[in-house]
Amino acid sequence: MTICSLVVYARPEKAPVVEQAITAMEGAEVHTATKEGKLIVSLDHPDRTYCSETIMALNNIDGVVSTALVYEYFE
Amino acid sequence: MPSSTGHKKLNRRKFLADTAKTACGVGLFGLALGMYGKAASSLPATAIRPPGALAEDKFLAACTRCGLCVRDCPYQILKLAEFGNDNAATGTPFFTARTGPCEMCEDIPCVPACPTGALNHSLIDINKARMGLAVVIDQETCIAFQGLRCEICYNVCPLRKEALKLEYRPNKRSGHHALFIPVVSSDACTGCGLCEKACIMEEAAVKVLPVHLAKGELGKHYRLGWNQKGKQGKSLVTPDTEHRFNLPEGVEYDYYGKGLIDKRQTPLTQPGPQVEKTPFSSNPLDTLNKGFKEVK
Amino acid sequence: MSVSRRDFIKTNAIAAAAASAGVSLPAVSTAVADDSGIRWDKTACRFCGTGCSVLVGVKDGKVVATQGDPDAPVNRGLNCIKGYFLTKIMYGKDRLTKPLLRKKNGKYAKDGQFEEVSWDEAFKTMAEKWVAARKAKGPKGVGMFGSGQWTIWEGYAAQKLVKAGFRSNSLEPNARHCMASAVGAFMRAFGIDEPMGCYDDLEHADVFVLWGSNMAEMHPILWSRMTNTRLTKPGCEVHVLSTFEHRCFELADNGIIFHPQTDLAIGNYIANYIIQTKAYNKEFIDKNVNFKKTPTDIGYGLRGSDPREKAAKNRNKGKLSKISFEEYAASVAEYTVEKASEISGVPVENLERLAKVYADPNKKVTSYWTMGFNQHTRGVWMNGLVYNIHLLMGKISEPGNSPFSLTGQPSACGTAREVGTFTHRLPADYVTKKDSHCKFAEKIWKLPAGTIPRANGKSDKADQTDISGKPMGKTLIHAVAMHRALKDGKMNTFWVMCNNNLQAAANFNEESLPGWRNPDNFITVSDPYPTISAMGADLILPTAMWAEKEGAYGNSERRTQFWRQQVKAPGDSHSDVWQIMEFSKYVKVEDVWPEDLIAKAPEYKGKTLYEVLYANGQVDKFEKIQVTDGSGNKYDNDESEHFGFYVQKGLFEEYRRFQWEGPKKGHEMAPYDDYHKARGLRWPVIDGKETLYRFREGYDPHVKKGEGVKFYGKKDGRANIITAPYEPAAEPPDAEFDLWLSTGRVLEHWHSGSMTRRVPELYRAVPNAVVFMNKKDAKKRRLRNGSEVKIITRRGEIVSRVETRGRNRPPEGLVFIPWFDAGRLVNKLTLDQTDPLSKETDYKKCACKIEKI
Repeated sequence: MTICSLVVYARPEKAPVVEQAITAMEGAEVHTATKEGKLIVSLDHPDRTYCSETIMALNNIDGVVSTALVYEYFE
Repeated sequence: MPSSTGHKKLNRRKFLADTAKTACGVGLFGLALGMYGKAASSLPATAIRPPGALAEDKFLAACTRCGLCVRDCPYQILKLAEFGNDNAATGTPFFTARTGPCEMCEDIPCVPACPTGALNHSLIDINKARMGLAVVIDQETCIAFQGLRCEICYNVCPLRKEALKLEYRPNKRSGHHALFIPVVSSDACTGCGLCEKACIMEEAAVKVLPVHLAKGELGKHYRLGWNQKGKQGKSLVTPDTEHRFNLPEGVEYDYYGKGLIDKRQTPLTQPGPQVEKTPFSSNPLDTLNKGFKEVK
Repeated sequence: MSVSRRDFIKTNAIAAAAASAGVSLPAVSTAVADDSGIRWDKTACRFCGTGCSVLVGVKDGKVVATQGDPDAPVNRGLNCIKGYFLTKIMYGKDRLTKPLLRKKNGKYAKDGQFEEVSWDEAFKTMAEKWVAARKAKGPKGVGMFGSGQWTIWEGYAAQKLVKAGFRSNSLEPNARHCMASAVGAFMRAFGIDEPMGCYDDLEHADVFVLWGSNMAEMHPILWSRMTNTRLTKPGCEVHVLSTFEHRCFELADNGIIFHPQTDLAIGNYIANYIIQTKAYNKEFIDKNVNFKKTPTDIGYGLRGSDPREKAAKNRNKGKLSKISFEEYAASVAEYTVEKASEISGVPVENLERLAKVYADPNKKVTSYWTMGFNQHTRGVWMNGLVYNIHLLMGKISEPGNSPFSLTGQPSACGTAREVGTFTHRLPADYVTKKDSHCKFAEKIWKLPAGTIPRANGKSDKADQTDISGKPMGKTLIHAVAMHRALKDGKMNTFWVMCNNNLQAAANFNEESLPGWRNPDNFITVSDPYPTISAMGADLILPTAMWAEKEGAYGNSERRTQFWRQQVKAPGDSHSDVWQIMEFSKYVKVEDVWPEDLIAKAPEYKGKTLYEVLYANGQVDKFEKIQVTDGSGNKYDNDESEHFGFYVQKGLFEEYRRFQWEGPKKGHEMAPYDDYHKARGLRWPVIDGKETLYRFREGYDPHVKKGEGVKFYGKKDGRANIITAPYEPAAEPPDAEFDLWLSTGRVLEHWHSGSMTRRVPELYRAVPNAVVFMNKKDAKKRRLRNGSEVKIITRRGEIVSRVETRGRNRPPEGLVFIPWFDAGRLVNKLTLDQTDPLSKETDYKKCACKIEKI
């Protein structure tokens, strides 16, 4: 099991689209999104490699400025 | 920082590098937490050494993983860490407070069983054992702090009133009840874990440390009534009816507030006529300080 | 890893990310509970007599959450740990959902195995057995054993079925084991049952005295209120008396540990102190009190063959004779502080400190007691001794001055006592001993005069005829006698409802179990769970519990609380009131009434008991309605749906006529619908107004202007101060059985644990009953904390572990074992001794020995 949380910085005007794209990814959830385009995202997946790949994929979403991994739990 | 493009296939090394690139100041903080998360999985909070265990590094050096302490534990709560499963150093003895706490045998059979002194043989009074320290770790969710009458940790503590005390406080919210707050004294707590085992929270609100910080969790089936009412701004169910009472003159009844209010001056109980009454207060200072002017 | 653990980690992970980004997360709190779509409604807590109000949250037909009701004055949103887990009590994995009958080769057999049967087969088998037993063995041939946890209408429906339908007084509640001594003393002293004060005393008293009550564990929310008063009121004192140290001693300013049974000497000493120091309130006594003497040497409620009973001069006697104040004063004069100290083992200074607060006219004193007094072979006497003290001082019936008998069960007051589901009682304090009272009940119930069996079997001085054609004879039989009658084959059918009497009754090995398993007997147990009693039964009826039915409880302070049905009961289970009424359809009037009685009411010829008792034009008067609360939420009512009328309302409104239409006043309750709107109302409720303090002008509408105090339960308006000397216990320790054994409860478990031991958290917290023991006693027997031991009495033995560090700290010479543990039946050890007056079992005193295994 791997659970991680991230802060995703998106361009404010693109934030809704980014949120949609993230929500569509397996194991990813958006918990809150601010006006400034900060999104709090969690990833919950049995496979750690999947998580790392997903985090990279997040970076590739159009409108994402940067991502920051904050917390990782795995066992 | 512009978003990276064109990396369809990523190896682990690349992933780490990218993560490092994207991490700003926030990310550094995140990295620390990430390490904490890893630490939690490599040394579980739930593994506690038997009574008399030396400090962890010395214990690891002295313990021969013979398992004699495990054999001699009458409650069979001790076990040897298994490779890959228990995460404590393989073969070393430990117990898990939440599922099998130390019952604190008066003769401490596990200690003399230890052939190397990894469990210190000078420990002969179990009350002096320091396996860890119980901490009421989540005072936000522990229901005792809300005024509910639980106190199970206190009830099961073998050193009740010494290691775990109850502190009484008036419950200012209800105005009529008291809070019974569990307070651990580090000078008496042995870290046996009986409190952690007994805690009725879904995640124990009292835990034996040194372990990693964790939070308790209120049972899913329960709400704090006054919070819910506050959120709603009114009663969740039909408001109570208006209550009226039979009352003597001069007596009021504040149903949701102070209760019975007697505005009459005289006490209701008349003293028995036989009681010897004197004009003097029982405190001689009252009489002495009154001065001469009131003497008739 | 469990889901909750995962959610928890995730919550932390999200919170950490949010914190690092400076984002607040209003929607993601640490509580993962989802409250959308939950319907909330009020109920009364299922457990003790405190009567906390609880809001129940239902979603998708299941109780998913509860919360203490912040609008309820008793608990103001709080609960104890049992109340915290109310959600889980109905969802134990082993709920019973089908009637089960012992069968062999497709037929009922006493030694058969339990098999699922239909309700029809269950009731047919049961009716056959009941009618046969009633015909063959007379009014005591059948018996029903109900509960102080029955709702009001369940008790009332049972009252009608047994007393009027089956014409038997063999109806008892488990409250006989719990409150009978309190009732006895109320009736003797005041002529009317239940406390004069209310919980407001908890804020108004200056001094609290706890006698034989571990309120800290058994009435947790009241203890919380009392602690608050002790903390916040200047000069407030708490005195605690017990035979061992328990949680209440932590708050005690004066903690008193006395030898078992010697509370009698302490009570008399205090009265003597008040008289000797002339502190008594002469004006109050002259106006409001009579002095009475009670017979002494009255035995111990054991079987008549017991040598202790043969030796008793006035076995079971309690008739009072009038004496003067001087004679009363002389009767207590021997109880000097030295003598009381010598008998009780309590230091003189502790006794004097206690006596002084009672005797101080400027201190308001409230006394609380529970099972320490009631489960006592001199329980009525001991209750009375506290009334004596309060009456001598006039410290009664006003805020803060209260002798207050706390009740154990949620509706021991509301159902067992107020509805009168005892062998000798009828609703609203009427009794089967009085012909006129029975006639009054018969009038309300539209029955021919002489239907209800009189205690002595005589109506209008003539013998009542039984179904057998013989005279009815004496008809009273109390709880402990029922088990004896089962063992002796004199009672052949027994229906246990809403309690676990096989685990609860004393002397399991010699009386209870042989009685239940006597091949002549047919035992029915109604329960939601497979309890010890269910194990001992022949027929088990699966029962709806608590929020699975519309209900009403009455707590210790005369507060009546209602709730609506919140969810459906699982499978084929049905509520007690459904079972009682449905069963009555299987018995015809001709099966149980003699011809001469039927001749007096020919309209009942050929009718079932259901038609006579419930479809009588009164109980079925209210049409079934869609139950709706003030917010428009809709609720089921499975009983109304089945019977076609508003069952609960019909029963309650008929019951209420006993309070309003008879010669006895002071029990009046409000109309049915009012209670669904209120967080309980304290009776008497006259003109919509509740009564806080009885017998006092201004507070009690039955006391006229200028009367001051009037104890109107007695004809002359005066209460009784009654003598009650110290007499020794039935089975004190001796050389062989060298320890006192006391039994009781713990905070975490309710009674026999059938509900709370099915809550995993509570089970984990306190899984088994241990023997609380003094360290020195353990050492003498080469025992240590945790040693496995046998506890042995003259009647049996059980195995448990020694606890010397526990929350209860007995003095040397006494051990305490809680009774919740079905795995360690402490009642294999106890003696079936009772107060000879109240017939309540004394579970607190017998002799045992302890051996190492």
